[in-house]
Amino acid sequence: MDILRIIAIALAASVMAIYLKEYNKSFAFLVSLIAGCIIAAISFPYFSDFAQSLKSVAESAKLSGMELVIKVLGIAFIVKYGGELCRDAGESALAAKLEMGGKIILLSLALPVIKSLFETVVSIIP
Amino acid sequence: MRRFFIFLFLFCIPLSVSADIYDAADGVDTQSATEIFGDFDFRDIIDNPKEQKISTIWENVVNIFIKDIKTASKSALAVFLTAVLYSIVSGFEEGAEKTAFLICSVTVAGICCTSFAQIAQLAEGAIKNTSIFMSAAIPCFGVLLAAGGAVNSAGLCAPILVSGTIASYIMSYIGVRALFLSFALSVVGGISERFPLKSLASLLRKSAMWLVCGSQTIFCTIIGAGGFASGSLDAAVQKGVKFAASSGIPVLGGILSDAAEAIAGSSAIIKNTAGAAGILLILAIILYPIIKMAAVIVIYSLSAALCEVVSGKKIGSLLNETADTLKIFIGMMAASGVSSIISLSILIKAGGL
Repeated sequence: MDILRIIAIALAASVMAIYLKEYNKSFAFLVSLIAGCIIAAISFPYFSDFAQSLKSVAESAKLSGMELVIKVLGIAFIVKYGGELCRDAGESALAAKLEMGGKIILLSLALPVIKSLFETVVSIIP
Repeated sequence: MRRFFIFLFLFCIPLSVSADIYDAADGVDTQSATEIFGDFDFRDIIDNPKEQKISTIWENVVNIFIKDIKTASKSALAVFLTAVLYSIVSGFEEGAEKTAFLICSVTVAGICCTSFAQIAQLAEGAIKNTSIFMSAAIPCFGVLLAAGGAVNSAGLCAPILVSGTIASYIMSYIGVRALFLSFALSVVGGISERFPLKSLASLLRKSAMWLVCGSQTIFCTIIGAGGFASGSLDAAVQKGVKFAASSGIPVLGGILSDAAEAIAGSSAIIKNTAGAAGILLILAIILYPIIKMAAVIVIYSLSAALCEVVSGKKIGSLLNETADTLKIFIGMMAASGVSSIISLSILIKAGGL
């Protein structure tokens, strides 16, 4: 049961971080960072399976554009994850910059979709 | 011999007019008619009116509907898959997830827009085709009516042509464009709540609907009132002319009177057959986009219900807006087709022939 493993890792890391915070804040952050990475390593394959099955459904129905949506969601999750880690380290400004960078990348990825929607709307308007 | 030449001369009028009706049918883009009637030649309806392949037509209609259901299901599946992904990020209101959330909305809007644009342009073409056919065919009916002796009923063609042209202009240049604009506004309003455009879109849609309903009502009133009055007048005029010709014109009077009666009968046959062919052509022109739209409406309404369960109201309302706008398009095409069929029916029945 991966969910139990995730809970156990999170609880153990929290206890360790609280204990370490009294002596060294950097170590406390490192513990939470490592715990976060382990949780990500356990949970991300599930998202990958989900995305893969959606992609195969889209491919079997010959749908275009689904790959982009899945990619956009994956990037959004990774950016959010990175941002939360930065906030844990007390670097809110860095987290905001990371999110801004993520938004720019997402928009550049979605540019063809936005452009085609814009063109269709303009062609509809009399 | 004289009798033969008089008959020949008078027969030339309805024959030349029937050739004009063929040309009017040729001028219309009959691709949609071909899809429904298959390899059926329209001239067959006039040449062999009894040999109509109704079962083949029904088969074609059902096949088109099933084909369009399949095509619409594909885009509905894409929308549904996006809705599933959308539901993952729909709880987040800040950060990169909000951008992903917007991109999902844009993808769904793009899918809806593309299928709407394709079908709506087909519908716009059908409305224009109906109008072109009617403006080409009605003067021919006027000549046929006059040739048949129904001079008062032939006068009906002018109000039908003028009011029909005005009604179709209102429909295609104001109604259809207002609907396109309303859909574009509702798509932009559906992407983000920062653009509150839905009320404006709904106002435009309702105004388009009322405008088209009003113009069609006025059109039907004009042609209906004219149609009732002219029939009895013509019967009286025909009897009077026949009596005057047979008793007033020496020697040739009797022959001319018989010839006029025979010509009136023959031009009535041509007029009625051409009218029936015209009604079938108009049905075929409007039926093809209506079937396509009905398939898309069924699939989009179903997927709107499913998407609302999965991802909330936003995507569902976008799909519902698309389906609602297409429903009004169906109404417009049906109005255009029915008013054309009413005009043709009045012209077929006109003159009491």
